Amino acid sequence: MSVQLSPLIHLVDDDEAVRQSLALLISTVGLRVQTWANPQSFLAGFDRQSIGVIVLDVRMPGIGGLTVLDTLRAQGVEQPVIMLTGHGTVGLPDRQGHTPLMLAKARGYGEMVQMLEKAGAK
Amino acid sequence: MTTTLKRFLPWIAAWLIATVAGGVLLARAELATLREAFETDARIAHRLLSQRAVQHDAVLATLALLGGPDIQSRPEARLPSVYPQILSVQRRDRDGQWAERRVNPFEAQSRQLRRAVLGQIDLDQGRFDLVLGADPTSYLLTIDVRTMVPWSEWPMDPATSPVRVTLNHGDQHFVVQVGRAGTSSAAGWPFDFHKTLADESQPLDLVARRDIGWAELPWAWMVAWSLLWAAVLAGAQALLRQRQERQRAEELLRLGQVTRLNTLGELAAGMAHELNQPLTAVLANTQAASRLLAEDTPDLETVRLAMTQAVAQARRASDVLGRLRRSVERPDAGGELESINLLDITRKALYLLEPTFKQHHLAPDITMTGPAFKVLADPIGLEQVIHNLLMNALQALEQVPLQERSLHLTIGSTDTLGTLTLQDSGPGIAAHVLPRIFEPFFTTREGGLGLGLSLCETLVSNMGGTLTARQHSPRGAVFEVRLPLALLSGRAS
Repeated sequence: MSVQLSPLIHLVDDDEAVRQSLALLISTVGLRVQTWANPQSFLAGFDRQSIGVIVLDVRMPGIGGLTVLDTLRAQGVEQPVIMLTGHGTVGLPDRQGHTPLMLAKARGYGEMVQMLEKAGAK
Repeated sequence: MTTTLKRFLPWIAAWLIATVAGGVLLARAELATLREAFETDARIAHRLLSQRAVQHDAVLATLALLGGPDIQSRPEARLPSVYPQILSVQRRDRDGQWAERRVNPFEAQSRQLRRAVLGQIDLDQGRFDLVLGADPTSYLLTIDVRTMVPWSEWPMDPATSPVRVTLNHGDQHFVVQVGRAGTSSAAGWPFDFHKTLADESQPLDLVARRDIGWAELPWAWMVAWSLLWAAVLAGAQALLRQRQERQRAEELLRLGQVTRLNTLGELAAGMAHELNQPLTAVLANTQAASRLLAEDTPDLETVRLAMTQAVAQARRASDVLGRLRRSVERPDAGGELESINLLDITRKALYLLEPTFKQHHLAPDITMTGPAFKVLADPIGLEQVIHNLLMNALQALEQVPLQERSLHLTIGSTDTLGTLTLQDSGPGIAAHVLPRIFEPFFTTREGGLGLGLSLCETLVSNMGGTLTARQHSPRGAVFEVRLPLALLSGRAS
C-alpha cells in the first residue's frame, strides 16, 4: 500500500495532548493524519477532495463538533465522520439523517483504529 | 409600606366588619332593654294615675250618697286633710247656687251622663275640677295634679330620671316629671308612650317620652368587643404568618438541597471532562507505544516520547483531582468549634424535620440520661450530621409498616464524651454492608449518592469525635455520635 494512496485522517481536537497522542496512535497503523487545533482553521483549510475520515471532538470551545458536522454536510462533504464524546452521548442525526459514528473517549483506541481502517478502506 | 398595608388590609377590613356588626348588635340589644324598661315604667305610671282618678270618682260618689243639706257633719270639709290632692270641695244643694255660675253647664253634663265630668281645667297651673251632679247635693272637687301623683309608689326618681312625663288635655299640659327629653341632640332614638287615663271621667292623656342619645349606647362593651376581635384577628394573623414563614423555610431548605444536587451534578460533569482529556492522551500514547514495540524494528525514540507523554498526562489527571479537592474543601477545615448543648441542637434539628416526620406518621422521642452538658463541636456541621442521620433513619423507616415505625433518640454523657444515639426500627444494616457504610459513594439506596453518611463521619471526625453504626437486636439500626465534652477538651488543650 503506497503511502500516497493511504486515506488521510483529519483530526480536530482543541487539546494538544489528546491531538498529539491520537495522531501518534493513528500513524502507528499506517494511516496519514493531519491535525487541526480548532474547527475554524479545519473548515477553512482542509482538502475536501481527499479520501479519508474526519475525527471530531464533540466538545470544543467556539464551535462544537456537531455544528462542524452540520456545516460539512451542508457543504456537501460526504466523508465519514467519527465523533469523540466525553461520555456515552448518543449520536444526533445530521441534516441528511445520517448518524455519525460516536466513540466514547478514553474507552480504548483499538476500537477507534478499527473504525478508521474500516472507514478508510471504503 | 404599601406592601405592609396590603398584607394587613384584609385583616383590618375583617376587624372593622366585626366591630361594626358587633357594635350594631350590642347597641340594638341595649336599645331594646332600655325601651322595655321605659315602657314598663310608663305603664306603671299610667296605672298609678288611673287608680287615683278612679279614687276621685269614688270620693265624689260617696259624698253624693252621704251628703245632703240636712247633714250637719259636712264630711267634705275634712276631705282635703285625708286626700291632700283635693284642694277644695264645693257643693250646691238643690236650692242653692254654685259660687261660680260657669260650673252649671258641667253639672248639667254630669247629670246627663250620669257620671262625674271634668270641670274647669287649668293644667298649666296643675289643677282641674271634677263635677258630679247629684241629688240632693252636687259636688265639685278641685284637684292638684302634683299631689295626685303617688310619689312613694312612683317607678322613677323624678329628680334624675331621663323620662319626661306629662299629663295633657287638649293643648294644656302639666309636667309631672321633667326628664331629659328634648335636651339631647336631635340625633338619637326617641321612645314614646301615649295613653289616656283609664277613667271615663278624667280622660287625661299620659305622655311619656325618652330620648336615647349617642352617649347612652354601650360604648364600653362595644370597645371591649372591638378589642377582643382585634386580639383574635391579630392572633390568627400571627399564627398564619408563622405557618407561612415555616413553609417558606421548608421551601428554602428543599431548594437548597436541590441546588446542592445540581451543583454536584455540574461538578461531576466538569470533572468528567477535565479527566477525560488526559486519560484519552494516556491511553492513546500507551497504545501507540505498544503498537510500535510490536514492530520488527521498533522506533524506540518515538516509543520513549509516547511514554513520557503518557506520564505527563497521568500527572495532569492527578493535578485535576488535587485542584478539585482543594476547591471543594472549606477554607476553615471543619469550622470553628464551640461549646454546644447537644440536647438543644438535637431538638433544633428535630424541629426542622417535624413536618416531614408528621407526613410519615412518625413521632421521634428524646430521652436525656443524666445532667445537662455541652460538647465541643462545629454547630453548623453538627446540625448537618444530626439532620442527615435523621433523614437516614426516616428513609429506613419508610420500608416498614406504619405501626412498626419508631425512632428513639438518647442523649447522655460519660466522663469525657457526650453521646447522641439514634435507634430506629427500620430494616437495619446487613452484615456485609456494615464495614462499608461510611465509604464515600457506597449506597444501598437506588438513586442514592452514597455521600450522606460518609460526610457525617468526616464532619464528626473533624470535630474530634466518632460516628459508629451497629445492628440493633431484634431489628433496626443504631447510629451513635460521640463528641468530646466542652470543659474537658478545654482543659486538655
